[in-house]
Amino acid sequence: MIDALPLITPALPVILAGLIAGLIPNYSVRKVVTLLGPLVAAALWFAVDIPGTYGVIAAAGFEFETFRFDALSRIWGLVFIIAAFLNSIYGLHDRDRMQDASALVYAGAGLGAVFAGDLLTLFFFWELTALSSVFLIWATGTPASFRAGLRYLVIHVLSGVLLLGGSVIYATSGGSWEFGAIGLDAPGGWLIFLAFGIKCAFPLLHNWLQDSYPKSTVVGAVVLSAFTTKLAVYALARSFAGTEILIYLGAVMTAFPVFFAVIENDLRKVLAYSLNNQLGFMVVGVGIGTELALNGAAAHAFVHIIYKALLFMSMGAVLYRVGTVKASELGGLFKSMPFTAIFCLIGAASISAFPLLSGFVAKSLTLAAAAQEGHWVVWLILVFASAGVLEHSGIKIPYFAFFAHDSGKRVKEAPANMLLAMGIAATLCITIGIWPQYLYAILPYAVDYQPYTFDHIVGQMQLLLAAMFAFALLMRLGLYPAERPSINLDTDWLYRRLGDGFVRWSWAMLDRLMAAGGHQLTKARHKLGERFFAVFSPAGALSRDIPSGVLAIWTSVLLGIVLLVAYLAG
Amino acid sequence: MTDTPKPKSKARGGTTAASDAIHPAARYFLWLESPAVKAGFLFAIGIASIGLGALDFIHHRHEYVSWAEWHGFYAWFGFASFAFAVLMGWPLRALLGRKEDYYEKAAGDD
Repeated sequence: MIDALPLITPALPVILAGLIAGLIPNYSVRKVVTLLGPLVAAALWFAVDIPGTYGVIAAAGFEFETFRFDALSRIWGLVFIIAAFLNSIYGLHDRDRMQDASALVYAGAGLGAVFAGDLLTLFFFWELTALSSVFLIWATGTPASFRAGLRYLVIHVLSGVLLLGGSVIYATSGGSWEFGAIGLDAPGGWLIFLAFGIKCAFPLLHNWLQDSYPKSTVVGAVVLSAFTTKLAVYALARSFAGTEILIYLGAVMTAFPVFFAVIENDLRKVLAYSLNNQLGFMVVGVGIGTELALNGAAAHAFVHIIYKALLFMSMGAVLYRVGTVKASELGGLFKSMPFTAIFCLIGAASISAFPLLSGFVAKSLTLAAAAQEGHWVVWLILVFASAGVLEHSGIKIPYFAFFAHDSGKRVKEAPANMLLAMGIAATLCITIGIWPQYLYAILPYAVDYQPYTFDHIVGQMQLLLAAMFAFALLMRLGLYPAERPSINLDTDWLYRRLGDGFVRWSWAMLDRLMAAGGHQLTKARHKLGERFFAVFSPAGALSRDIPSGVLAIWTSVLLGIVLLVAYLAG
Repeated sequence: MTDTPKPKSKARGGTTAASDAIHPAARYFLWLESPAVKAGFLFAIGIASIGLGALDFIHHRHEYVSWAEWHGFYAWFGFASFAFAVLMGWPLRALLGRKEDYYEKAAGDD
């Protein structure tokens, strides 16, 4: 039956489901639609037997390639569909029609971009991801979320503009519109690279992520965590694989969020920093660019989307029930939400790369590639970052939410649909960890790698257990910075405080300038009026009695000049 | 109607009727809060770390990077990395930490 399906992009049913969901007021029918969209997309994904480019639409003298199914888009497409389906289950309790619609249109846009075969189709879906996802931030309905959404929108639309500009330069300078290998040396290459870098949250361009995701809704943060940044990693893998600068950018990305996450009180913001850290591993893999490294980036993206969604889901459940995810206000929630706590622990252990869980079989590919290619400093940073992952996502998230000191908050367990979504995600983490061959089978290149060796298991367990010991020891000695209500400055300070202050100061200066200018203008107008009055008023100079003889002489002179000019001209 | 609690609003589901109610499934794990268990965890994990590091003395690990083959490399590097990241939190918070209403004052944000 699947073979009988037309070869059209899986983005289509998801986007259509989103648009239809936005029109259906009936809660039950709408929720069925939100589940059906990703399921139809999955059927379309499985319908392709032979890799190729399908769904070509000719319009305005251009061929839009909407469904390029190859080794790279295949794995990204599949995990996007899985994420969209999990999100729909997780959001079943939610009655916000607009959010249902935007979540699906956003997921569909992500799928559309992944399957795009040309740069214009990519641009269309690239911008659609921004425009559709901002409603997930605004849906919170607070002034803070509104402002964060605006900032998010500006930054992402800028990314799209850069992509379009770079693409036009690239295509009209001898390149093509194909969304393929581009490289930094190509005309427009840097613009496209920057466009991808903004969405990928490169260092110094990263803070839109921590600014917006924690301010989105319970469901919104889960949805947002899956698509935008991983789409950017995919785009980098497609167009800039083997670009050396990515290795160093990625290494920085893995390391710096570790420090910010330690002192962050908002646990969803901790997860946002953790996202940066994880993206760093993928970016390093893309930068190295070997088959092993690209497999590492793809495998990491696949497992990361699932366990990161699981972690966001668990914190979303806490936010839904308790009303806050501030570590300083939480603790002891395992007594009220034991199943959520267990799922969170599975997600935490997966992201920390404990054996038998998905992170263990994926992250090691990138580390092995870095070491094999002789990038030993980068490799060392990645090992440091692995210990850092354990700190913020492996320990901090579950410990301060569900254990630590008992906050005394007694709430209900998460709704059944949330538990179901978390349960499926947790099962996937375990399944992939135990049977990695199924993941390896869909990686872009053939895999010749065995994750479960004695050396790898012992080395990884040494790292994780020693890091856990460090945590326990630092807590016992009172050296772990206590969680307390605060925020931390990051690069968003540049535009939220410095830039905002500059704009306010500029407006104030402009106001004063206008006022001063207006004053001078009034004075000048007044003086001019006085002059005119002095000349033309009844008491003015022109009204004085002038001897008629003088006027006759002047009139004769003027007449003479006119006659002379007329004569010379004739 | 969205599912995210608005500011100063009650969370969905709220607290349970009996404020001290504990989920039935969680009752089997209340021993986790025992001080003895917490202290035992510290020692157990310390011993496990040393044990895993000591394994390197009887089994030579093969690594792509030669100095990762040093005895107990991952154990001491993991410990040092974790401790460094956490301890850096003190100066970093002093440098970058602000009150929660820091941006609110300027733009009604957060």
